[in-house]
Amino acid sequence: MHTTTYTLKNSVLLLLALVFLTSCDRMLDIDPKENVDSDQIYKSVRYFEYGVVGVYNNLHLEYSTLLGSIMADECKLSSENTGVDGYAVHLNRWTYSSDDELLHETWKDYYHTLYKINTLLENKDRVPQESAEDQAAMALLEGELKGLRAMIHFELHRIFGDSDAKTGQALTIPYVTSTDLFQKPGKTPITDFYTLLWKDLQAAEEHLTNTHAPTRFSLDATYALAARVALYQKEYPRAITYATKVMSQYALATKEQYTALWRANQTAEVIFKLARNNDDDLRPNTLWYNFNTGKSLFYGATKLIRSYKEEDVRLSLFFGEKQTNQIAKYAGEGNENRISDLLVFRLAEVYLIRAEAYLKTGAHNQALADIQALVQARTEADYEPTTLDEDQLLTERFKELAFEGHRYFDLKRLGKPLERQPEDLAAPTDLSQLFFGQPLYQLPIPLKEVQSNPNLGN
Amino acid sequence: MRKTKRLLITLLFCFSLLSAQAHDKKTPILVRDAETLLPLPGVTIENISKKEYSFTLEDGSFDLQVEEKETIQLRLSYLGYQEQFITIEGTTLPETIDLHIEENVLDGIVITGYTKQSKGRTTGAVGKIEAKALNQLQVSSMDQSLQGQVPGLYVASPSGQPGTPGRVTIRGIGSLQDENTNPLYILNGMPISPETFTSLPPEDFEDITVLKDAAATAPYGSRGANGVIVITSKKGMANTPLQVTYQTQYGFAQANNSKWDMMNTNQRLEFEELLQDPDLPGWAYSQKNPYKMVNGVAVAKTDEDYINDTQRLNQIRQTNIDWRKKILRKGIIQSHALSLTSGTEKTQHYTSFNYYKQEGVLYNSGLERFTINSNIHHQSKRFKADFFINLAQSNSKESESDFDVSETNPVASLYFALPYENPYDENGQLQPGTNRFGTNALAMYQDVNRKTIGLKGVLSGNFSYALTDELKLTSTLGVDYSKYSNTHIIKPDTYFGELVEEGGQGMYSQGDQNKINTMSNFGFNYRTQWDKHEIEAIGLVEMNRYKYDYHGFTGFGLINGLDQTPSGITPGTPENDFIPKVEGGASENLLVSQIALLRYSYENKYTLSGSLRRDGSSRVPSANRYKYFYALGGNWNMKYEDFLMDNEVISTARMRISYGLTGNANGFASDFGYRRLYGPGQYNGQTGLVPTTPGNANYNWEMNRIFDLGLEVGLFKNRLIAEVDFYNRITSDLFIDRTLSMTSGFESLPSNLGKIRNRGIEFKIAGDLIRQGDFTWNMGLNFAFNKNKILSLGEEDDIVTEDYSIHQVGKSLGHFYMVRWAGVNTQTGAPQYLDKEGNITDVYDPENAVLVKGSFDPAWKGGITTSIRYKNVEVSALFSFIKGMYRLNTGEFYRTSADPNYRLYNQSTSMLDMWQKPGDESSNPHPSYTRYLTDRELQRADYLKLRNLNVNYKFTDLGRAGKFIKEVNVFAQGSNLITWTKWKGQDPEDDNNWYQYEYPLPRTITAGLKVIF
Repeated sequence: MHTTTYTLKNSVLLLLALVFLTSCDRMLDIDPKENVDSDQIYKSVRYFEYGVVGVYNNLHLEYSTLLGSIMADECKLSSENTGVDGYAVHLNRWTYSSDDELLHETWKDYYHTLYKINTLLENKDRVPQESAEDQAAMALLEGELKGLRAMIHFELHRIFGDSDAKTGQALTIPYVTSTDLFQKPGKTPITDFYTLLWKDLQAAEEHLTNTHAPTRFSLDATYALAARVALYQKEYPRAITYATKVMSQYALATKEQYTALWRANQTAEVIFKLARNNDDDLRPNTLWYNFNTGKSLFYGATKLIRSYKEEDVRLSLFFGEKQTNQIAKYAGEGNENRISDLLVFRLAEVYLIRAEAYLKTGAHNQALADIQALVQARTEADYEPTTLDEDQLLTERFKELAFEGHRYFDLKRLGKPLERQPEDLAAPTDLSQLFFGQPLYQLPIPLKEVQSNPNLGN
Repeated sequence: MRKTKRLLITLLFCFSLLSAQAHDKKTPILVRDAETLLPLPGVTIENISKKEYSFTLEDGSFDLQVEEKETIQLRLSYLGYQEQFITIEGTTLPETIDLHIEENVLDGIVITGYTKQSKGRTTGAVGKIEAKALNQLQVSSMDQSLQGQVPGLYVASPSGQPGTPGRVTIRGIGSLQDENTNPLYILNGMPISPETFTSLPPEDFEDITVLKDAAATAPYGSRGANGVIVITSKKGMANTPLQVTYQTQYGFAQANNSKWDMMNTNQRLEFEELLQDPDLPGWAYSQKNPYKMVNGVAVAKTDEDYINDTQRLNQIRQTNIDWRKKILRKGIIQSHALSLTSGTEKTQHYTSFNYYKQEGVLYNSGLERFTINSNIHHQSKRFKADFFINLAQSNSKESESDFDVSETNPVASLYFALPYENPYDENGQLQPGTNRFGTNALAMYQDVNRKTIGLKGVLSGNFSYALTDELKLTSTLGVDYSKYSNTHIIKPDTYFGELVEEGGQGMYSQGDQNKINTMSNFGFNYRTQWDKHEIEAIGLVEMNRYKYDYHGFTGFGLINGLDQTPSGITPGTPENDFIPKVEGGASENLLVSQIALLRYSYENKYTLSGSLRRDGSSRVPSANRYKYFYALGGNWNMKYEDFLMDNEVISTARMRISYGLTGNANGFASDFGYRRLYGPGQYNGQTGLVPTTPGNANYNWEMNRIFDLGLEVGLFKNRLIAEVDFYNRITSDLFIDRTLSMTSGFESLPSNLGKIRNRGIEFKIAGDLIRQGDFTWNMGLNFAFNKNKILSLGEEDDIVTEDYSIHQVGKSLGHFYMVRWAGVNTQTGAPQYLDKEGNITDVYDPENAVLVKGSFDPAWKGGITTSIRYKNVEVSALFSFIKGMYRLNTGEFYRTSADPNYRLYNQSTSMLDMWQKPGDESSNPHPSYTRYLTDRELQRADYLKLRNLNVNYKFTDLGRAGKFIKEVNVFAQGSNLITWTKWKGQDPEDDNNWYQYEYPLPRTITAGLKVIF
């Protein structure tokens, strides 16, 4: 009796062991259905380009636009922008702290985009390039990636780095080119940062050939970025050189074209923009108005509105018809649509860059001429002053580039105070002035980054 | 040779026949355990008729001499078994007598999923919940019925939304991955998802066994790391005629608002006057305010203005809304349950139909559920089969933004809405709008719909074929299928419809999810017994496959009146901005296992058990794919030792000890998280691929080592029983989201680092305090103390997680990490904080955060049960308590914030007392200062709850109706009736550390009727 049982038991066990142990290994090799392995990206130029397109996905330079506008004197907090749905309230009221969610998101998103770029660049040589066409395409993509890398680092520097006006040892954010997950880089001296940045810019200039392709980073975008960087760096001749390269290829928008630029998402004057569609939750017009709750977030500051003349086309384009302080710059294609692209570089800024560079190098008349041209295009009248100084130039930047995220960065790079008028304050007891060097003037590196990477602490 | 043998046998046979006829009838009768059918040696046989005693032999048999026409009465008694009286007539002697195990907490059969045995032979720590405690409960989610019943089992219910599952933990939190703290649910041998478990009707369950330590859970290997809950559903009894039971309940649910302290209109206006904010009517129209605002400029008021202001204020005062009455309701609950059961010798069945409906306390929520259960058991000769089918259909309506601190969450609106906000215009129409929180909530009740239709089915079968008396082939096959269909509709031409970003004409969104869990195992069960030894061996191979897919769409531009189906969607063009969104995905994982279980028992004294399981999971990189899990356990039944055998007081004394290893492979939220993956990501309508996970090639299993020592004692014939367990559970290779510098591109990387220890003691005592004739009073207490300690976090000393919490080596999990509040400066009215060193400062700097107070996982948990029975009346109550839980009360923050950012929300009446002039002592700062969340908002969430109270009256003498009706029970019960807590909010219970205006757990009161035909 017992022997039969044991024989049976043994045979059953043996059978089970044979059937299952051998086949398990392969059974457990399951492949994902909604994702592909990273190797897939490097199988062909086409897939590599999918990866490059992916770099633009969720690249929210809107954060720069928002911070550049609300930190300075362009906006007034809407009384509806309060409570648990409050958006950027603490930043605007200068009551923020380093655990601010927006700062965190900005830092995280920008560096995540840099990771995308860096992995692609690290592995680009794995892509088989059999034909000359493939090689040319890869060279273009390499240029595009390096240009984007320079641009995003520069955005991070504008927001989180020391001001370019800082004397002595100025430090800024790390220029990251590695994909090491465990890296904990420290702050970089600003000069080293610019060396790395220019290296990428030069590579982009070398590889890129495309122009007038505003939704992708092109050669024109490289020039515009170079001009902007040089201006911040106070390398004025360089700024003039690059600005001229752009200006020679584009013309300032006419009044009609300018209207179409803001009202119909047209491309006159546009050198580089990030295209937006209804899959993008964050768009330039969602910064001022929350469509989900129907609440206004920010209005134009009285200070800004009063700076325009009555006939200035910008006054009617940038602000609402019914409510005169409503920000209407990004109306998109009709109000139904509510979608407009995010302009990163446009010609007007390049004019202003060159004007400033001329002014700083003592070429006063050339500077005035550039301003003349711009003001003429916007107001259809001459620029009245016959001289130009830095403050006037800043006012022109203020008026032309309002809500495009320049104001705070302009004041910061020149070390000028942030000054608001009493009627633009959110609460009467709020601060109306913030001087260069005061603790809240400079945006901090987000708390979570400092906690996980103490090398970036103060 | 063969012939001689046959001859001999024939001769012998004849001889025995002759001798039987010659003497009195004498046949050995076998006494067996009714459940295991194993012989019981040493059973006392008392022949009442002849006043003789005898005992069963080693093989469990005894001889009985009966005269042909004699009738004798026997009493069989055996420790741990029910006494049995048997009348035997000389003509028909039974071959066997089966003794049933005494059903009390210390004894009885323990079903551990793969096998079952008497508790005396169980080496693991198990807790059992009897059907009686569950069958009448009125819960929308089954897990709520477990709270307070078994020491060490803790259910944290996050939401009162009918049907929402809670977080169930056994013996503390052993993993940092939230979704991994759930135990494994086994229904009739088949693993089911926690969602399926929550939708089971309580009426249909026979018992629930909670497996806690390694010896009990290791057979489940990597799936049992957080404990196992084994559920057995009711079965039919053999040889019983059809019995029909009908049970119905009717009652209501209501939110508990006992801690409500919000301002009414007069208080609010007084508060606004104190704020001196010209945007608010309380100051704008105040007689104390000499200015009015004209186009943003302050102008002195005229006499006429003062008169008008008084009128306006009076106008406002006419509205004084108690939003609790508008936003909350009394939800009606009803249920019907019909069950049929019968059985023949070979086939038994139990079938039930259940209907349950509960209206939520928020108008836009509710649950309606229909369930069918069927259990069929069939046995023919050597083949045995159990089929189980559970089908459930549920329609639930869900409240908007539950678990969200958001103005669209009606629970938040309840607190945010101002008492003078009149929701209606002159025509009685709702007037929603910006910052009209209460009205918006009411408008949302009308115009926004969130529904889930769930179809769930569990089909399983347990088969066994006995090759010999000792060896069986067994197999379990099953599938747990669920399909959820979620719709979210925002009607067009309404306030919310216009707010839809895409086109502003409402939206219709639908998402369908399918989840299929299949399980199959196959193996053998060998059970043998010789002399005093018993061995049970089980070998199985098992496969668990989980598949998931999801697809959904969102369409815009709804046509009014056609908004209940996708037909109302307007096709999208780039111009109209109605372009619909489509999404979807799929995933799967597989676990293959080989299992070996061995148990050896010597008499009833000693039991040793061992288990070994090899698991392979597809969720782990191939290098680390397979792991072995094991457990060893022992049970010593001291009562059977000589020194206790004759002890009158001690009726049961047992000791258990076990040690083992279990594991967990699910550290990544995704099935393929260990790989470096890319997923789709569009830009400008072009195809793009974006990295989704950085991957981790070193990713490995999380391991749990559990030691358990238990003692079970019964006194005075088990009238008083006590059970103590000590355990030590160490989780190593802990899944931690290792924080990365974001410059690497990622915030964190799931890794295997660190170690946590959960060490604790569980205690249970129960007994009949009074047992006198018709009157019985039973009481029980159970509690568990668990001490959680982080032993290591890899290279880090601490990890600051989201939500103001920190994991720090040497401390327990989930401590709060916040800036400390230091009161209000009496001279300036400024809020003050403590910096890291403990110095008072006026500046709020998040870098001054330190580890503060306790964590959200309570150290003490327990329950008190009591029941009183007098004749036909039975009253039973369950209290449950926790101690040592802290939660961040964000609700308290928003209702004590006068700063410009939050003053538009209604406030607590305590705010009338805020700081106004130097010298004022107040805990609330001057309104011009910004409020930040600090440890001031950290509150104890300890509670003692009267969780359930049930009064039942049983009619047994039914007169003439007794022909048709066997029994009628009338009962009433209340759930979540009274809560004693210091927590300032609707309900202290939650599954996380942060109050986020969760749907309040309601108090329910129902009356019911149960009729057995």
